[in-house]
Amino acid sequence: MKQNKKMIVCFLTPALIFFVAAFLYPICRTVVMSLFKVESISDPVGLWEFVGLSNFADLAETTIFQVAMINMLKIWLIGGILVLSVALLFAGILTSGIVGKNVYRAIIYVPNIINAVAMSTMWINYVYNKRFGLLHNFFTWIGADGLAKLDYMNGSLKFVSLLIAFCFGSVGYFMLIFMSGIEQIPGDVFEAATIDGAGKIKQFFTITCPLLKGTFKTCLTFWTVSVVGFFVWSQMWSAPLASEMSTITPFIYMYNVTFGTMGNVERNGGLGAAVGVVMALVVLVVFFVVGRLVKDDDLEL
Amino acid sequence: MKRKLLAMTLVGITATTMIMSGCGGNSDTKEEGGNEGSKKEEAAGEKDSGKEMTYWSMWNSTEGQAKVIQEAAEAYEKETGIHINIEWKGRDIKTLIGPALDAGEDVDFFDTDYMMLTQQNGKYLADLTDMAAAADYEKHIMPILLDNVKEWSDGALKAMPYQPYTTGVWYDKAMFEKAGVKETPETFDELLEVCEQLKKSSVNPMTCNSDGVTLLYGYQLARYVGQDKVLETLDNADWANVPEAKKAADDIRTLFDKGYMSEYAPANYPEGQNEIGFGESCMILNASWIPNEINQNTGATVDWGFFPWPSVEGGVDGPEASMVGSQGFGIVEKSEYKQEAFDFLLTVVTGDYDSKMAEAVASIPSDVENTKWPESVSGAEPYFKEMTKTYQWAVGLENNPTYKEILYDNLIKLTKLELDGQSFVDTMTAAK
Amino acid sequence: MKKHRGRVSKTGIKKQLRLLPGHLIVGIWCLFTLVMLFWIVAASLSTSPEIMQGKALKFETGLHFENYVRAWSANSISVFFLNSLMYAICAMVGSILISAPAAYVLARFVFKGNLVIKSSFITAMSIPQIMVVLPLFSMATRAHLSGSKILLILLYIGMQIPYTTTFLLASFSNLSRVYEEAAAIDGCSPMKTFWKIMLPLAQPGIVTVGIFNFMNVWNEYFLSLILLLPRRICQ
Repeated sequence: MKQNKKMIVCFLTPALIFFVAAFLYPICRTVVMSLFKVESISDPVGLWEFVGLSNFADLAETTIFQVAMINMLKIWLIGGILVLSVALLFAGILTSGIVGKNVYRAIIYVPNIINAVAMSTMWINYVYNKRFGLLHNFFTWIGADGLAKLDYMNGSLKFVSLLIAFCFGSVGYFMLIFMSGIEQIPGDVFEAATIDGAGKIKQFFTITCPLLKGTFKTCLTFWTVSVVGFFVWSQMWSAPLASEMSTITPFIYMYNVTFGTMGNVERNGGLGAAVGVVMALVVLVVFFVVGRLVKDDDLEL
Repeated sequence: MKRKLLAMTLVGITATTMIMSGCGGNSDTKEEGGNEGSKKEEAAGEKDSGKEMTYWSMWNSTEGQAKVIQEAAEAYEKETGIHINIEWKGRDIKTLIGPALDAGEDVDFFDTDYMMLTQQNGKYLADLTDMAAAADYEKHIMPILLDNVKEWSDGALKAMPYQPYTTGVWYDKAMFEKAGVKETPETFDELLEVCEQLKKSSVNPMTCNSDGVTLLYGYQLARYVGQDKVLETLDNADWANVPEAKKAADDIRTLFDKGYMSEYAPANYPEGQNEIGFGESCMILNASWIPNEINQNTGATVDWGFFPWPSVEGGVDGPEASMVGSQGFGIVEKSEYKQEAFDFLLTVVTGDYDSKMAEAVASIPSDVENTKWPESVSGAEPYFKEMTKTYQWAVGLENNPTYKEILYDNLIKLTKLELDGQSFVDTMTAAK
Repeated sequence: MKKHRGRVSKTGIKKQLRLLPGHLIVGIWCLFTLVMLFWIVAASLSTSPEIMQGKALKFETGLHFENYVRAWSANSISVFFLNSLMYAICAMVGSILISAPAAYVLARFVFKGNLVIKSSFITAMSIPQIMVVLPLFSMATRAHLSGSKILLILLYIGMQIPYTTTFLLASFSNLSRVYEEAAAIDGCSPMKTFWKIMLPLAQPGIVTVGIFNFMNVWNEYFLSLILLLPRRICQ
């Protein structure tokens, strides 16, 4: 027993130290910082100027931050529905005993491991290019000239094109999670259903989906986290070294206020931290609501 | 085993894509590349003072400017024995250098846009006035640039401007000839006529990148009311009470409405500007780095002409006013080697290395004694020398951080003909 | 798994025919992905003017393998690459070495605080990066100051700990206790049992989580952006 205690301490301490250094301490510091005006992010605490909740009040009044929040909400909601339903569908198909499952799975997953910069370069220069892009060529080929002339990179479509490109790359990851969820469902459940005469599609909706509640919860959490961290794609979709209404997200906004942008002499790390706190609260609320709505009654990932 | 194989493949793929993302679509690094090799050790031959300076650069190592700076650094080391550590940081340096210096990062000098340098990072920089006087530095540099630098830092000289640029309309001379255009336009109405003529010769008269819409509107508005009034309008969101705001918006809209702009404009950077290289469009309003960029990106050899943005009826500004800017070197106040850094930078921004850099990237030389301008930007030379007023970038339209995205968004809508002059002014007023 | 496969081959083609819509949907998606990947590879062998004119796939001027040579030799790229590789490998190995023992104890032993630790790791996974990145920045710049890359690597390791631990926790709880009991009878100490027996048994999970960690750090963008680390290739 004593030996066990020693082992627990030895094995757990390093992980806890890292955890405190890379999570607990930064979280606390961000929360504190959000109550101060901090001109430069690397200023020592002594130079911080306490301002109470005024950073949050400023945020609430800033149009561009509201725009960024709405953009994020749209990505989360629309993108979430798209990504999770496609991922679930693919997971269903791939676990149905289809031939070539491993090949399909690998190919669908590949976009996840490619650098987002390379992926967005590809989308912008190849798929969305309005003169010789894949979509342009496709619509010209089927004779839909109106569609072929669409400008995906400017105006109202810019956000949609960004959303689609981002979602496309995310499907593989959530598909893997769903697949492992489905594979944990005991096979005899399905066999019983087959004997009862339920078809594959019916089984998918009546058995697979209800049993995947816990997995679904995991996916939703990960999706929320990845949407909140939306940065690279947005940057690639905007003019060089600038941010735009159609593609700005809270993360980009935080970067701008913390480090300053063109012409913006004023920097405020505290405001940036306040954005961070708001985002963390958003995630926690989602986390909590999902937890209340979906009671765990099956295996977690 | 299979998993291991998978792991290896995944790692392999990530590795390759990582490289690809570097050379795939990256258009602003010049790809003429070449073999630079590493020369730190070789150069340390003759003298060794044991001194070292650190330079954080806004350039990437593959760019033309970087090569000339590297060469200058080697020559400097050979002569003085002082080694210069160059870290090629790229453009993000402009926002990130401040926090790095606050954290005590050991940098002796760095460079970025000269306005950012003095306004945002001025507090880190040493005043070079005395050193400059001793070296008789100021006679080399365009007075207008020095005036700006001093104005932004209350009379102190905290930056050494180099790689100056001007803005105006760059055009393909051959297309003007083919369309029978003899004279460059001086008023906006003349510009419209030139456009009409060019259109008849079946080229797109003008084009622009989507980030160029602020330049178009900024210039047009400033021609009517001057920069001060533009900035005032912007800061007070006083669009409704400035009739010229609507007029300028309508003018810009006309260019798009009448088909004087390429049907793809405003196109994603750099697709708009590339149209000129591909012989589809003729004119673009942009900075003097654009001829070189277009030639590099498209492999074209356009014979470039230049004229300043035209004046307008009843306007206050004409060709004597232009957006002018430059990059600038700043020397960090805390550096132990301020004089050494200044001596080195003097060799970069004046004399031979300055003209080498101008030649390498077809830019304007910063030393006024280097009178030979590279061919492709030489069209701007006469106007540049007679200029008396400077505008900020986009006449300051991109300055207001909480407002610029909204302005940009509405300008795009204007050029997409989704708004007209009046509704543009209305939405801008409402957005305050 | 084996039983499953046997069943497929028995009904064989007929079953796959019934799954045709599935094949079609997934197939089109995969085709699209492959075309895109092919384009990225093609673009890397093409030239900027060709890409801008939409001719990346035509190879009119031949295959430009020299892009790779140039990318590598243009002095700093090879440094970026090696730096990235070093950070990613160190973070991967380090996070597993630290998380695996912790995950094992959390999975196997009942003690005060077990649940608290587990749930704080899970909560940490849902904390967005935006929340921790600013203090990490100031920590890292200070770390950078001391001139060592080690602190930076430690930071990357730290960021992977909650995910790695939670993931490996599941792997360890799925292992049977029989192994430990047998080892104990042979007189093997619990710690030795872990390193010699349990860790190798958890290999599949470790490989998977290792790949994830490697990719996370390799593709990590924001922290390396704000630290201006000499590892970014683009822009």
